[in-house]
Amino acid sequence: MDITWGAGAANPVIWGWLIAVYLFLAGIAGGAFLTASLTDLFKKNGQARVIRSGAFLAPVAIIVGLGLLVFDLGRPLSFWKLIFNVNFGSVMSIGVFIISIFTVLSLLYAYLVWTSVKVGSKVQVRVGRAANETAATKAAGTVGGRGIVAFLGALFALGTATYTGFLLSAVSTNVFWSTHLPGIAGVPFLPFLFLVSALSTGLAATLLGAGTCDDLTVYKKIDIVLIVIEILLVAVLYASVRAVFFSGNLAALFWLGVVMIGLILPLLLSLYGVSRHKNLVLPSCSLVVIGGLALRCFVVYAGQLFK
Amino acid sequence: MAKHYAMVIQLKKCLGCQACTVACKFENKVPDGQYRTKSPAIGPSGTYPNVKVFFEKQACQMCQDAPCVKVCPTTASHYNKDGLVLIDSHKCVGCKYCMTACPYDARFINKNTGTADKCTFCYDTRLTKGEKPACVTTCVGGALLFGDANDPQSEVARYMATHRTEVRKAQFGTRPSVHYDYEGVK
Amino acid sequence: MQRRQFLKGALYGTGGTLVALSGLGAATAALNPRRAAAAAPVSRKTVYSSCEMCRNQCPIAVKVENGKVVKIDGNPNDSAFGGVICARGNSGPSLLYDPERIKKPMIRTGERGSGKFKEVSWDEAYTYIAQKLKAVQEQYGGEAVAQTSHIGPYDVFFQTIGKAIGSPNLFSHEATCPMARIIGLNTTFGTAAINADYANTKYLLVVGRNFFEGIHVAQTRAVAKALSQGTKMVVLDPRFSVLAAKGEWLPVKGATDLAFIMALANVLIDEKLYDEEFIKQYTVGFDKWAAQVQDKTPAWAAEETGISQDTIIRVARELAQAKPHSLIEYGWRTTFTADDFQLRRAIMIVNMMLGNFEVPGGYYQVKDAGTLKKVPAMAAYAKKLGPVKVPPFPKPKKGRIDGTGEKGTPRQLTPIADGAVGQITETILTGKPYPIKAWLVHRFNPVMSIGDTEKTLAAIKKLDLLVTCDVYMSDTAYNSDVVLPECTYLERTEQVFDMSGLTPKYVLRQQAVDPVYADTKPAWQIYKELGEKMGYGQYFPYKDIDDYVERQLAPTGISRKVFAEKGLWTPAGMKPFYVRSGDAKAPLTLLATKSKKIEIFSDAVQEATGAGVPVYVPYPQPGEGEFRLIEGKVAVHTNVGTHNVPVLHELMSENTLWINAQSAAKLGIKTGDTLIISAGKYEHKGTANVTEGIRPDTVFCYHGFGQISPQLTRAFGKGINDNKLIPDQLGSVGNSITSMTFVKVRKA
Repeated sequence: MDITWGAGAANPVIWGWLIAVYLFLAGIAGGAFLTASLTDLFKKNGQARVIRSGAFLAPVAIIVGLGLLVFDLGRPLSFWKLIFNVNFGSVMSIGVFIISIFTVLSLLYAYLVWTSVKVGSKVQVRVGRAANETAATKAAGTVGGRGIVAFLGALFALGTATYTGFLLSAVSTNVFWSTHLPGIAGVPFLPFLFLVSALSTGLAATLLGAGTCDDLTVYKKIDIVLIVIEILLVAVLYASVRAVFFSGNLAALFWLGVVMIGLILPLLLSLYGVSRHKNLVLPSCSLVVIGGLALRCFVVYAGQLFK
Repeated sequence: MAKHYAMVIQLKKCLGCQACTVACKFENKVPDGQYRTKSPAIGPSGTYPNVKVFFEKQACQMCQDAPCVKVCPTTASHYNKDGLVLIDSHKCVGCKYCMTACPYDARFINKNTGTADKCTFCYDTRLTKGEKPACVTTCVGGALLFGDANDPQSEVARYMATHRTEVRKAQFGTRPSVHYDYEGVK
Repeated sequence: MQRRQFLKGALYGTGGTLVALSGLGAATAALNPRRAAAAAPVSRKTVYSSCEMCRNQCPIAVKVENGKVVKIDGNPNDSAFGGVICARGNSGPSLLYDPERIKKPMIRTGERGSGKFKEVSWDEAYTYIAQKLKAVQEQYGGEAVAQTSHIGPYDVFFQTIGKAIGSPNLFSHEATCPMARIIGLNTTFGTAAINADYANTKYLLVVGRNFFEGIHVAQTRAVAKALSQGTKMVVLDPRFSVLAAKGEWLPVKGATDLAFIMALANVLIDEKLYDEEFIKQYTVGFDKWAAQVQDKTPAWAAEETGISQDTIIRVARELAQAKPHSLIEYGWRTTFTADDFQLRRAIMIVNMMLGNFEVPGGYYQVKDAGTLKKVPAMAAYAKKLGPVKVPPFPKPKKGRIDGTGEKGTPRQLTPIADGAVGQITETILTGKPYPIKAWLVHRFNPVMSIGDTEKTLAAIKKLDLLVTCDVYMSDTAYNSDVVLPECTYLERTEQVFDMSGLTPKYVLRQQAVDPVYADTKPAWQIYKELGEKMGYGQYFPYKDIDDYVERQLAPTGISRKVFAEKGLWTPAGMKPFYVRSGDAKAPLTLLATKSKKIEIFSDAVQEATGAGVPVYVPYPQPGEGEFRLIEGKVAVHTNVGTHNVPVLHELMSENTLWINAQSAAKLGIKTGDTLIISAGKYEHKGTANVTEGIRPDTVFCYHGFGQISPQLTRAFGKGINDNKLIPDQLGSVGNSITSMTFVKVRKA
């Protein structure tokens, strides 16, 4: 029979790079917010630049991500219907609320951080710059109830980062996406992987945004831990699904993008940097961010191309 | 008793002539290049001169445990009173989540409406008027049976009682209402 | 619910323009007064008519909403169709509303084949054609005008022009398709109106026909029904067709089918399995046939056909076991070899050996009014259509260019209504036996249908006038001097036509909607108006088509209302009539031969060819490195007519070259490779389709692709134009030969 008979096969890729980038950006947003808010909440004399970078990055990333998501809709202008028609059984429906609240909180938090910077700048003339910033942010935190926003936002940031994993893992008919934790049926795997990746990429992006800073050792150490966990998770994934998912064009994306660029190289760079007290934030964090994007693309495409 | 519309496809009788494919396009005003149903060739398999080929009509399987309904964020995809999976295009935003969930590749985004689209068993245009779906009535090979599976006297119920039929991709537990009889083709 | 459906319709109808609005949903619709106004009640009607997506004229039910055709179903009032129609029939609206249809008469302004035309009024077109035809007539005589059509209801009107001019050279396309079968039947039964009762047969041997891809809805359904009732089917075909997939495939060596059939006869005689009583009572010349097949043993046939001796013997026995409800199918496109008609005769002779005439599951003579009149008990059901009388035409001054009708030559057997259409290009180029200078073409595409596309194009360049009437700018229209736009079948009414089978049946094509393009016209009107312009008004004595239909129906007493309400007429209360179903010895008073017997030995064939019973002729087989090129139909296209219809083009826009996996491996060819297919004189590119479903010495492609008219923008240049590779070669009786082309294949 001629191949054309009965119309060709449909394009198996339903969610393309727009959705992959959206999932990546949502992860960045969650991770960045957590970096900023946890610094803000738990670290005395927290790094103001880190807080500011994370606080500003989070809303930008999530809004750009949501923009891509809306653009990818069949009817972009009808996105508001997602809010008025709810299906509690649908991960996406729940996710809509988590992300919406997170977006609002991240904007509010960014605003609070931004206003405190302005307050700070007024006293800049009198006092030294670095000391002043810390004081200013601290002052604003107590004044504006920023702690509450940071705390609530952190919860929803966690939800957002995890949600991106749940979104895919809930597709029970997609054997790759719905892969569960080895030995524990019912506990999906992707939310863990995406959460760790979100924290890692969010932290990395925040550090990139923070620019040169005093002492980032603690962040670098956390990053190393996250990368190691992620390596373990990716290894588990590789071992628990069929080899076909890592074949073809996606083999390059996986081994080069996810494994080499995203995990091995930054790990080596970070270890080297920390041990030698060298500032390798820029190359290391850039690689982590690129790797995070590669991971989302890989997961989104692999699940659809191989069924 | 509630209705349970079901279809039986006797693959032995399907000629792959695509009459159903085209009938569906006009009955449902499906845009150019898009299909609610298609019948691709499976094969040929075997070696010369012992060769086999058959055609498999593919469309929404009208699952009773439909992954698309489960994931739909707006409840646009739903079960109607007769147990059919339908899409309320007013509620659909075109997020394509249902398409990623459907193991049968039965759904697409309608180019003209931007909403998810798929086979409805011609519910609005024919079933509600007591007619069978357009694909069934135009089937040249007479391969398609259609009716209420809950009515033991119906064509489909009687056929399924006396023949071995299968559902596609049973491993997903979707409980389709479209049943395939592969006798004589595999 | 109602409104939502309407909205979908509106969106569909207006294409992309409303897409942007759709996002805003119902709110926009409410604000848009145009849409709100149109939500008024929809006017719906069903018009019963007949299809013309191929030439079988299947009865259809056309659903019209607000003056637009929205859906076409099979006519549920016809039990042979039961509401069923094929993919092509379903696609009718896609043709009807195709913006690529020809919309106005056109006269060429550039070089022939440049595609440059100017739009003209109908009157200008008629005047131009009339002047040119008169000039040809004066200089060369009326016989210098040739006319070809596919064959259909338009012929009555179209051919009136040629007959009035005094040309004998009127051709149908049949020589490129079923003519050998027609001749086989004519010379055996005295008529070609012999049908098979597929639905009730218990055993079906098919020789190269492909019911499931070359779809004839009533017959395809009948075969499908038989199969579902357990009928065994054996398919002789070098290619694994869809039909072969539903039965036992015997990949016969090309051009050797006659050996298989003769060996069946040999076994039936040898094992005394044939119906001796039948042969004795109803036939003449069996002894000569028996002598002819005496040495055509299964062992010999196995050598010829590549089908094992055991299989041949088994099939013969199985046929005999199921007789008289077993049949060997007589074929559809019967252009395999130069003497294809003898294969068809042989098939019918073996059928008669099974005694399967006028019984359920066998062959029968079509029970039209004329035939029923010969059977006293049934005469009451015969309602003969009235003739539409016209004055006698002038007698042509010369014989036909193809020798049709010449006594003592094989062409004496060629039906005068068909002729050897493949002769035209040869005659134009050589001027022999006399020049052809003007060519009128109606709904036919010789550039793609008469073998050797390049030769036809060269011939066209030598003409004084080429006029083509079609719905699309076909490859021939593109190279014409005048192009006339016919409206589609959905926009016209035609005369009543006879679709009798086991009972009489009349069907009427009825206009469903007004012409979508106002300047397109039905054939009857075009040729009546052209005729009047040329001064031949007396040959078109009817006012219009309704008047014509009235004259047809007048003597029958059948009301036109019957067609409006049901789309067809059959005599009330008449059951399918087989002469011999109750009494195996019933006289066959309906037989149309002079001898009143079934002519196994035919005097006419003896006189014409010297072979009164079929004689086996071995044909060349492909040599080392060569393949026999065969071609066939696909269920979603008709000949070369539908490849540009949007919906059908979408379903299948290109063909491939099927090549056996082992043969391909030797040549290093893989599926998807671009190939050069070489027939010596011409080459064509094609895409490889490596398959187990074809003989190693054969390649195959679906016909009608690779069209060369750039104004068929969808189909243009897509796929293989097999017609470029097949030479314009005629068989003994004028049939085109399409299965004797050997090609070489290499990677591009």
